[in-house]
Amino acid sequence: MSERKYFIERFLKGLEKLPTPKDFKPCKITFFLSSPLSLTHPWLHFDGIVGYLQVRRILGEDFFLLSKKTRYSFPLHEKFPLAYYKEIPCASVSILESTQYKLEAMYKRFEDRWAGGKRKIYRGSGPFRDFMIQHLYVPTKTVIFYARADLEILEDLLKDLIGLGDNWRVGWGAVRKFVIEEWEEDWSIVADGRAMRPIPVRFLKSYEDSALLAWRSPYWDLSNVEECAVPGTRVELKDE
Amino acid sequence: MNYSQLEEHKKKVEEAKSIIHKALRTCRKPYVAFSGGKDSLCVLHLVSSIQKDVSVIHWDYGRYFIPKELHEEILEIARTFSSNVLVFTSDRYEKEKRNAYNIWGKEFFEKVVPKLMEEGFDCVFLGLRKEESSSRRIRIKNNIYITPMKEFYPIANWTWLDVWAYIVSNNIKYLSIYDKYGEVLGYNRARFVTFFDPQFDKYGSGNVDGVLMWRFKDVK
Repeated sequence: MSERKYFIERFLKGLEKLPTPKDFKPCKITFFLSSPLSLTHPWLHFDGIVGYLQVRRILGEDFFLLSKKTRYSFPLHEKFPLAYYKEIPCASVSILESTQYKLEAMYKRFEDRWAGGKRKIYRGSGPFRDFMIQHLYVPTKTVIFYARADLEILEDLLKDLIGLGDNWRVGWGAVRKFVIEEWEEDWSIVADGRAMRPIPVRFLKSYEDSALLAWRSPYWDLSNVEECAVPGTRVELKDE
Repeated sequence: MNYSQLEEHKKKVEEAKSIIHKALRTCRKPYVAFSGGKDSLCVLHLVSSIQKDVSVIHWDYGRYFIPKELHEEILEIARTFSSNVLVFTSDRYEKEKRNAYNIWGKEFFEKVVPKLMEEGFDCVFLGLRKEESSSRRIRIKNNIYITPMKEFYPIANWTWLDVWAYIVSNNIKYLSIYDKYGEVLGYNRARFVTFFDPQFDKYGSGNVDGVLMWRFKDVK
């Protein structure tokens, strides 16, 4: 059995143990951070975060065995705790306190305690290579998302979330706590006439601005990229 | 007082002009290698102030690495200095998309350089600066030419501050991308290189491009 098939089968088997969402309600999710948020894209996608947490919940620590080079394409399923409008996940992109990006660099430098008695070490290439990686961060204390979800299942899943954004493994975007509130209106896709997430223009009657964007998870997958209304711009959904 | 008014900067400008004067006396047909970046822009401006309508050579990295609008902007800037702007590229960029690696290194030397020599070009002005990296410092110091044509480095001793002082004090139109990146990274760190290029991933360029150039992240 291929590695890909093995993990997908394990995922499907694990799904059986998860509760089935019953009641989708509009909600606002606020994450309180204890460190700045590192980003590689202007927006975080809430459905991507929930999908990631679900795969992690099922695979446990084996999640970290997944190869970065393999496309697993975990299938869509009815156990996903977020609702869909047509094919669009009812989950907004992140709303931050600030969009003032700051530059930071992470350094890795050779330390002889890892050398294992070697007398000559190459630092220009190989496992002891030095590097300096730049990344941008936003000093925000809260990250807000809007969604339409089964609140009970969502809350249980979000308990596993350690950090948001990029480089959370080294302490960026550490989640201190989160609060889920029921919200009167559904702001997960459109709020006050503005797109809350990338929406493919084929679902829209009119739109102010568009760009090539991924509109459903996995957001790194080029096959999910199409012309979409840009989050934050004016849009009007097509009639049902 | 502005940095551009200081003797230190003025001396460097004079030194650059003197290098160009000397070079033009020895060359029959020179060209300026213009990437669109701030350094080659200064060289192009300096050379043009001494010899009008100098030939400009630009390498196009293709639409997967440089947005079309930005490419147009580069050409527009180049054409304000010269009526002889030659653009070279490779069709491998379309085939290999963002997996394209070291195409310039191969195609420019194998195809473009022989063509330029055939057309009689015998020297090139480059915007290399010693401050940029140790390999460039060594290349400049030892006059290591990467083509059979003679190379001149008029701004070899300039710092990033000299470059910006020259651009601002001469009111030269520069690529808009510098303001976008300069605002976040600082003008000392803002560089114009190919976007979302895997060869710069090791420096985290993809992380920065992903935020500042998000519209260009996915190209179909």
